[in-house]
Amino acid sequence: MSEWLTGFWNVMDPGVLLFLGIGVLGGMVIGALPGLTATMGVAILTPLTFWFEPTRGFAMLIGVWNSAIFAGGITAILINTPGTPASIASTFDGYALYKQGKGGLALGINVIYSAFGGIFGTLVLIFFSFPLARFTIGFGATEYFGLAFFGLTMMAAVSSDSVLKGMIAGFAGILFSTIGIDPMLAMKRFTLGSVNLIDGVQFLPVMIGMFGVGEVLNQIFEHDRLAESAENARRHVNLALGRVLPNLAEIHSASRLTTISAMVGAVVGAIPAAGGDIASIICWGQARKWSKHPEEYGKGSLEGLAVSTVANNSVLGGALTTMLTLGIPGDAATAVLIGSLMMYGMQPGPKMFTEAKPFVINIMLLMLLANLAFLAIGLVTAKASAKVLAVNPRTVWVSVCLLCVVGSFALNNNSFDVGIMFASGILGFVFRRTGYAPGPFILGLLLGRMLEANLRRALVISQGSYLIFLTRPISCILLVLTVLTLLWPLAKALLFRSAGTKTGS
Amino acid sequence: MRHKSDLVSTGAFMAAAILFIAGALRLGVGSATSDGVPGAGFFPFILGLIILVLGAVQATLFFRDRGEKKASFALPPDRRANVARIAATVGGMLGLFVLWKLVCFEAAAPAFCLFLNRVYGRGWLFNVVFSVLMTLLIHLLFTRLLYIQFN
Repeated sequence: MSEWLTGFWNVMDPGVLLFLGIGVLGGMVIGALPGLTATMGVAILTPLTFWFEPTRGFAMLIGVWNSAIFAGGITAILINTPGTPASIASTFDGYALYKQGKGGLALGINVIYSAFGGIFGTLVLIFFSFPLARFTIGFGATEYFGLAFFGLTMMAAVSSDSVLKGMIAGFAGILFSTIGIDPMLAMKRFTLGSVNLIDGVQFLPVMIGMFGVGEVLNQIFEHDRLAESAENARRHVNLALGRVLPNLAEIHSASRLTTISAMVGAVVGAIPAAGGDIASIICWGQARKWSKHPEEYGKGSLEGLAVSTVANNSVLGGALTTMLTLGIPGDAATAVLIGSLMMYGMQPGPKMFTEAKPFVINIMLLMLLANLAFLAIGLVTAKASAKVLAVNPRTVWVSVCLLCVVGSFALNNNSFDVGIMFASGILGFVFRRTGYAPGPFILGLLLGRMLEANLRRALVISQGSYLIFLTRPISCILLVLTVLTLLWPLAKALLFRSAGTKTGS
Repeated sequence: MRHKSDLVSTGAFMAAAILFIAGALRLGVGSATSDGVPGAGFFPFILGLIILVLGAVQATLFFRDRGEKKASFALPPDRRANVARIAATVGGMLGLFVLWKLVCFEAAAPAFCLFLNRVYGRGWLFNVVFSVLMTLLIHLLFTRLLYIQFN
C-alpha cells in the first residue's frame, strides 16, 4: 500500500501533471486530425521525452496515447472519417447523430464513455498484471521464444491485407534485427564495417521514419484536392451541435452493454496485435445483436456509439497488461512504448514488476490520470474541438517531416540515425503502397533479438534438440496457437469453398 | 486484392534474404562446439530461408491469380502532380539535413518550411509566419529547454 501512496505522490508532482496535460492536449490534436494516428504521435514525441525524467516523459506519452484514441472519435462524429483506426466503429452512429443535430451529445458520449472504457481497462491492468507477472516469472527461454513468435504471428495475421505479406514483413524485420553484435557469441554481423551498426539497427529512428515520414508521403501520394474541397464544404455545413451531456436515462439504458463492451475490449486488448479497431467493431456488432433497439444501430444510436467508444479505450489497459507482464506489445503503439521504456533502461516483462515496481505503479496511476484529464478537458472543449478539423493537412505534413528529422537526430546527436529514419520513411511509403503493413516489420525488429537469444539459449539447454519447444507445456501451447493462427486463413478459404460447392454457387 | 508490383516487392525481399544467407554462411551456421550453441550465422540463415520460401509462395500466387490486380503507384491524371510533391518532399528533407550540417539549423529549418509550403501551394504570408514560428519553437524546445546541441 505504501508503494501506491508513494506512486500517487510521484504522479501528483506538478511537473508530471504538466507533462501529462501537454500530452493529453497534444494527443487530442493528433487524434482529431485524420491521418495522424496515436502510434505516430507517440513515435514522434518519444525522442523529445528521452531528455525528461522517466515519470515525466512517460506521463506525456501516456497522455498522448490515451487522448489520441479518444479524439479519433471527434472526426468520426463530425466528418465521418475516423481520426485513428480505433474509432472506425464510431462513424457508424456518431456521424448519423451529428446529421440529426445531436453532434454535441455525440461528442459528449465519446468523451465520457472513452474515459469509462479507459478507466475500466486500467483497473484490469492494476488487478490482473501483478498475478500474471507472478505467474510468468517462471518463464524460461522456450516460453519467451513461444510468446514472441506468437505475438509476431498475430500481428502479421491481423495487420496486413495478406497474411503472407505480413509474415514476409515480420520475418524481414527479424532479419534486420540480426545486424550488429551477435547476442550469444559477441561476433559482428552484417555491419559492413560501420561503427554505427555495431549496436544494430536502432528501433526508434526506424519507427519514426516508418510511422512519420512514410505516412506523410503516402498521404501526399493519395491527396485529392477535389475530395478535400468536398470535405471542407461538409465541415462548413452549419449543423447545430446541441447539448453535450447525456441525461441519466440515456446513461442507464446503455449501462449494461457498455460494461460488457469494456470487459470485451480489455480482453481483446490483451491479445497481442488485436487493437482498438477490432475491439470496437466486435463490440458494436455484438451489442447490436443484444440490444433492445437493434434497428437504431447505424442510424444514430446513442448506445451504439457508447459501446464502440468504450471498447476503443478499454483496449489500452489490456494491451498494457500484456506489454508490462510479458514484454510483448499488444499493438503498434505499445511496441513504440516498449522502445521508450528501453530508452530509459527498463525491459518490460515480469522482472520489471520486481526490479522497477515503483515505475510500474507510476504507469498505472498515469493511465488513470490520463483518462480523468481527457474527460475534464474533453468535456470543457467538446464544442471547440471541432475547430481542430480546420487545420490544413499540408501544415501537418511540413511539421511532421521537420519533427522527424530533428527528433531522430536528437536521440543520440547522430547523423546516422537521421539516415536510418530517412531510409525507413521511404521504405514505409513503399510498404504502404505495395500492401505490406509496417507494423509486423517494426515488431520483428523489436522482438528479433529476444527471439534469437531465447531460441539459441533454449538450444543450448537442450544441447541442440528442438523437441524442448514441444516438451515444455506453455511453449508447446503457444506454438500450436501460432500454427493455428497461420493456418486459419487457409482453413477459412477451404470452408468457404466447400460451402460454395454445396450451395452450388 | 493483389498488387501489380507484388512480384517486384517480393523479389526485393528475396534478394535481401539471399544477401543475408550469403553473409550468414560466411559467419558459420552450425555449432562449432558440442554444447549445441548454433553459430552466429544460424539465425539469419534460417530467417533468410523462411523469407525465400514465403517469397516463392507469394510469387506463385501472383502468377496463379487471374483476378484484377491493384496498381500500387498509378494515379489518375488530375493527381499526377502528387508524385512531384513527393519528390520535392524527399528532396527537401535531404536538403534540410545537408544545409543543417553545412550552415546551421536556424537557417536550414525556415528554408525547408518555406520551400515545402510553396510546393504545397500555401500563400507567402502564412508561409513566412509558419516558417519563423516553427523554427523558433523547435529551437527553444530542443536547444534551450532540452539542451541538445544542434550545430
